Amino acid sequence: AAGHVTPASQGFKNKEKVLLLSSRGITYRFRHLMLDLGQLLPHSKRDAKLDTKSERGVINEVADMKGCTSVLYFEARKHKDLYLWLAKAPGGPSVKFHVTNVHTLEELKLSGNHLRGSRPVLSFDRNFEEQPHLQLLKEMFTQMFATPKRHHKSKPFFDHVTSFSVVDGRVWLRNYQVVPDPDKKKEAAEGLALVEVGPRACLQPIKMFAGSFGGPVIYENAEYVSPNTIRSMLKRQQQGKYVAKVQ
Amino acid sequence: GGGGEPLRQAIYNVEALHDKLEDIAWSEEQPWEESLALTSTAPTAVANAEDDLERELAFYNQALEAAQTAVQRFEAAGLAWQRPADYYAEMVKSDEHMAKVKEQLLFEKQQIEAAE
Repeated sequence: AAGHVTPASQGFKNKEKVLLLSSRGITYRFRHLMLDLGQLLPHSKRDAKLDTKSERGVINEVADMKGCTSVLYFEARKHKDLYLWLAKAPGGPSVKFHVTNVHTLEELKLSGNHLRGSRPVLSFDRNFEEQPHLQLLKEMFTQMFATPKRHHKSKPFFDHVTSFSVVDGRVWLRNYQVVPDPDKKKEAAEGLALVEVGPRACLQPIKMFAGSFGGPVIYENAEYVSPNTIRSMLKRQQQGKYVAKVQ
Repeated sequence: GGGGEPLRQAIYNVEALHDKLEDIAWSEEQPWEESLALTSTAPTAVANAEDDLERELAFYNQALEAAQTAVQRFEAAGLAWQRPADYYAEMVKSDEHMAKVKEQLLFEKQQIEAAE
């Protein structure tokens, strides 16, 4: 449908606004991941830390007050585990991920850079088309990560790709700078190279809900093992070791 | 779960997932310029997710394909997608940060040369 105006698009305006907020007790690294994502989303608004003890439903009220249609909520637990909620407010759906393999823009190994506010091309793995929950996640990511066309904080150049891949039942997020061929000897598209900018994150879906931060569970990942369970299993193994040694 | 515990019963409500998608979807019906979203021609395949090199190469190739397709579309539409060389604007990483990145790259290069 690229290039021509369809009747549906005549009245369409992308008014997506993303609320970014975290729970209390978020650590340095996770806070930076949130700030990095804020850099990639010129159409986002930040709000103060949410008290974890309060009901998550409050977030819907904050989103409403700020005029936001989506929410990225970073929920920290035990100062070491990070969960990320993606929600379409106020009607849902929402999804809770366990976040691992976090790398932020601060890391010197990721040497790419791009304009602040340039609209990204979003790259999705074809695997997203294979299962209904992935199809839904793809639409949610698209709506939240696409910078609205002609947004006042956006810049009209293309210099980065944000990619989403499905490996091991998890969604892997990457962000690359697009570097044109300096000699311009090749066709523009053929001469392109990428340099990773960051941030990086790996998102394992845990549950999806019909509503925004609530409602019926429409998806639950049976393969998900909570970090608490993993830690207690490791502990038990080590205990066993000690007992074996003593005997 | 491991340790012999029985797997929790998974919930997979296909109908509700489809309904929700239908409720919110707009990206497929609207012109491509609205979302700039592209789907790879082939599924991204990684045999061993723990293998950093293999995994990152697969992600790179997926993103590169999207970049190439996007540029082809911009060029076909006659859009000036590249920023002019004299266009200066705020970047996601500051000049100070990029200086540090350069320093680190130089340092690594020297380490490699020293080792040879």
